[in-house]
Amino acid sequence: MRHSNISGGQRGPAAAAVSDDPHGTDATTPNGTASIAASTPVADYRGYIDLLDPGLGLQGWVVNIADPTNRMRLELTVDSTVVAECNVDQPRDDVARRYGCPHATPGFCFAPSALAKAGELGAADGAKQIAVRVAGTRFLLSCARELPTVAELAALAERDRGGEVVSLAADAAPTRLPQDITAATQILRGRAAALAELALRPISENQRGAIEAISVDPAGTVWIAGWMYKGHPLEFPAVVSDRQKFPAVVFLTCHERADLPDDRVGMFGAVKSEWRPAAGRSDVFVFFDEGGRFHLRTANPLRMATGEELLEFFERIKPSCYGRRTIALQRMLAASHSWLPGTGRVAGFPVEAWVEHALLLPAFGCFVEGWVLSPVKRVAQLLLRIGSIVLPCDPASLYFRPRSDLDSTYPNHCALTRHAGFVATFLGSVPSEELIDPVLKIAFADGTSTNHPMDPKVIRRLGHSATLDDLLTFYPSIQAERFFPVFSDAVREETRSAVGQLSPFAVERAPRVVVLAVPDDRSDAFLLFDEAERRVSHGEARPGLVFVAARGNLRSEVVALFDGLAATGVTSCSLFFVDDIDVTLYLLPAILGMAEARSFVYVAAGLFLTEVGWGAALNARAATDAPLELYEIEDRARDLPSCPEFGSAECFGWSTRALARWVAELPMFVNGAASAVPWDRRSKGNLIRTAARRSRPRMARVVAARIDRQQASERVF
Amino acid sequence: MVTSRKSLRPAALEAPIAITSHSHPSVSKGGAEIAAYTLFKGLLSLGADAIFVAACPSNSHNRLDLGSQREYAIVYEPFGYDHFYHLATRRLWQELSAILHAHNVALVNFHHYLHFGINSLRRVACDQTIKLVVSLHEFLAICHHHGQMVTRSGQLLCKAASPASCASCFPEHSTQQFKLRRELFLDTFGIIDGFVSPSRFLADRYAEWGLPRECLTVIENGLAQTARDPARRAQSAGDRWVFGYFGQITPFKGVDTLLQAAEIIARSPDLATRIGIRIHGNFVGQSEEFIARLTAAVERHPFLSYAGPYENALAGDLMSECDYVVVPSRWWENSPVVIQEAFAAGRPVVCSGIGGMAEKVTDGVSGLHYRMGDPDDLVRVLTRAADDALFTKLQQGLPKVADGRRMAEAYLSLFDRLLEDLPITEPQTAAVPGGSAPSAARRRTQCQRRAPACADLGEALHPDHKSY
Repeated sequence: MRHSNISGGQRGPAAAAVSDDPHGTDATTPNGTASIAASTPVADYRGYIDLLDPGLGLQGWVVNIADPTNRMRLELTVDSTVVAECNVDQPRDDVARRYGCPHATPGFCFAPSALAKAGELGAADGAKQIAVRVAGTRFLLSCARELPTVAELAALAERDRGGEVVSLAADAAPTRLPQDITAATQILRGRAAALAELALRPISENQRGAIEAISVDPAGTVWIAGWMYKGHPLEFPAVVSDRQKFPAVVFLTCHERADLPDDRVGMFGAVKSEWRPAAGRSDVFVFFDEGGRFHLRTANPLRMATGEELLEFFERIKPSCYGRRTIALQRMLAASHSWLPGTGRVAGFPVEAWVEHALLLPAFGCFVEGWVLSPVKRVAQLLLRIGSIVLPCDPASLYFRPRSDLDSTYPNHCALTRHAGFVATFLGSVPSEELIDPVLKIAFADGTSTNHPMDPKVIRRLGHSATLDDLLTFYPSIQAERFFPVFSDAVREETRSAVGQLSPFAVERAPRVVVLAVPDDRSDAFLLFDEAERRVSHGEARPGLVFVAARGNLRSEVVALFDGLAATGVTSCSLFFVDDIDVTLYLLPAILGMAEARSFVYVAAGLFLTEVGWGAALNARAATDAPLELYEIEDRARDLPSCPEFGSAECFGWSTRALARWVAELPMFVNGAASAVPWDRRSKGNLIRTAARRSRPRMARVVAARIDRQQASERVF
Repeated sequence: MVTSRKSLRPAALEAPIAITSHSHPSVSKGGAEIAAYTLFKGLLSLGADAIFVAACPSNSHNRLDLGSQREYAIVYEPFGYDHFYHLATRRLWQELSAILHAHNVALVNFHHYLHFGINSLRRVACDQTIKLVVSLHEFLAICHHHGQMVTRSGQLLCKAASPASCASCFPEHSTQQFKLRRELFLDTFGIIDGFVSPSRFLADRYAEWGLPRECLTVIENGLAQTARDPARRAQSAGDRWVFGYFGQITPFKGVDTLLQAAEIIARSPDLATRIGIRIHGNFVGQSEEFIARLTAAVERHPFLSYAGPYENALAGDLMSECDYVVVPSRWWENSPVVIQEAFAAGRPVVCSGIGGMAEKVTDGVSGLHYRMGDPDDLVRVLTRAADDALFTKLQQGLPKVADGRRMAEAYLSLFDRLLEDLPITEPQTAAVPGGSAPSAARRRTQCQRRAPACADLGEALHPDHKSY
């Protein structure tokens, strides 16, 4: 009876070479029998036979998990006869790592001569199987296949003289697959194609495992997790049968599962094929082995796991995984074509990263500030994925900053924290429907990469939840940056798209109007309405009053104040609501059109006309050819000196027709009307001195002003 | 000066007069509304045709108790008022205007523009048929900090307003906004026929701020009830001298100075047996920490007691049970009613030696001054006051307190001159030095058009208004 606790692992890449001492100890007891000691419970042993080759010997590993460094001897037996012995003293890093004993040498190798000796036993023993056991115990090592009989061994030896190597390892192919997984995939793909030509039928007794969960990564790799019977290969060609047949290549790694019977093991791995599982599907079969006689079957219900769940699962099982392709699978999870978030945790090397600020302009890209700590690998490139859009980093914009605030969290990394912070610009358009699931990819100089999920809350949209001036913390000299012209165009486009919302609340026609933009300060809004009523009711001339207000938190007050004013009947009154009061200038033609005004005076939000200003506004001509009049603004705080010679579009009077022509050609000024100066081809315009004043210093919108300044050098009047 | 009824010009008694107040005494018992109501009652007692119009917030509507058919309340929503420029929505003015025109009111005396808004003042002023007088009870036009002329963060006395200093107290408003505010107030005040101040101190401050002195008349507030027995309270041997505090216990009223003085007194056993401090009033705007501190001090010191809130009508009786009344305010004060009540009760006053308090209480004559906010100096003065001879001298120096009738007589004298378009000259007892009285008609020229006639307004009145 064969005892096998674990189907065992394969020799990993770290221990690819056979021991330098392939011969081992070739000894037998005098009478061929071995005394069996009961000192160590059989359950404490783990072992596996990887390779049986007449020319290479019999190789594998065994470990006493209760005492991994305990030196053991193995016996090659035929029935109860010990044919040969050897020491367990060869390095097997994969096994040692798996069992947490880095200094152990659990590998062994029976020399080819030991196999030859077994094959030379008499014909009476021809039908007897060989076995390998731990000396002094009843523990027998297992392997993927049944060990050969004496007669079979003799035949192998005969064939070996022809050069054929027989491997009992999990790669069931007679020839050993390349270490490189890409090359191995190519070989197996060919075999899978051939397998797909066959008629495949799932016979229940041939079910060798179950797929319990599936996840598909953005690169199209299907990841599976479940269980399978021990003794099967862990990389093989296959055919996925899911309404149709898909040739596939499967790479698996195994891990212990306490819920499984002894003859089964947990499995996790990748299925490379054109197959894409659909949620809710059951009865998907993965046929493998010779002729496709075995199959894995999807469990019912089949769980579709997210990428995050996939990574969490792998992180849990990673310490106990074994199999030739374990490292390769780990790398696949963090491969450059995979955007599964959180791969930094499973990269196998230390890397931490975090994004703290992300300012997005959909038509341009995203400005990102964060930090990355990579003690081992040098950061070469950054990429950002938002939704399905991948934005490359503009290398000219990427720079690093010291992050001494990380010193306490990462002591002994001062050299790293000195340049752990990064600022980068990621270029590309991101439609609003794609603004989900942001992931930062860090690419390293050696070609590997890791993915780091971003908290969606760090993304703010410029001009909406973030101001343009917030960018100055990223790029204080933004106007000198290479991306600035393209960025400016995108800002103007964004601003232009916000101009269009105009909501009339009440409209009364008047041939001449004073258009007053309502400030967002509550007290100033009260003052504006009070002053307007006072001036108009006490004046001889009575133009209509048009109020333009933002659709903000003062709306109720504005409506109440407007209602009180309109009820007086002192003059015609209109009220419009807009989304952004700063772009009222661009909506003026539409507003004046609805009011059917031939001429107007416009006063931007935050301005109050002086006595002189009101005099001019009340007495301006109502004519289709009304001349341009610029109202000088007293800037009492002198924060931003007004332009004494030309005035600005913040406060001016004109004819509606001339305004419409001018606005039609006006570029989009991001900083509002202050950046624009009305210009009449026929005349310079009349400047009315000290006609208006501000209730508050003008907010310095630095970036917007710089954008407009660049525009001004190109603007067309 | 007592002006007999025969000497009054008939105009003041014939013309309907409206006294407006930012609140009704049944809802709020502040000095301004009590003074306004006292004047109203005094006018009625003189036979004047007077009505009383109060603004009442909608959330206090249920406490409103109008005393007669001549009293009106305009209920307003706090939503429709701006407390920086003091502007109200038009609705409140429409209702006020309807009342004024329904009564053919010839003169309106605003005791405060709060809640009505200075735009309502302007609208009244622009109605050429109505004379307008504004009684000033604090410095609200000058100081955005509750009109106290006390800095916001440091609670320091402010001697003069400027846009820059005001903006530093209120950084949420700009210097330009404070300039606009001042201009708005001065523009509006420029078309008002006359101003009344209960104290020379307040009048001087407004004059320094920009109000023409010739517009200002000083008329002391009258007390609704003045009959008191000024005799010394009955004392037994060994009784302490009782110094009583009366009023709302707000952060401005200086009760914290009293508590600090109590700690100093406690360290001197002799003083602790001679001096008693009794605090009357309710807590307004005080922190839980302060209330706990006062409670603990009362428990710790036998000479310190807290008598709780009190009815205004009982103030005189309660004061009679004290020897002195203490007014330890930390702000300038204007003409504290409590000082008049103390005088009416025959009690000298110990007060901070600043502002309106120093004006109403003559040091060493009708009371004693101490350095504002200095508990050591307060203790020194209390110690000095605990002396029979001094007490008797101070009692003899107490001035006679005007009642509502006398207050009304003084006001009617002013109203007469305005109604007759005569220059304002001041009663002999309350002269504001400097300047000659301009013609009221000249100020009217600033308002170029008449206000819309009442018939244009057509607004329904609030059902709480009594019929008229």
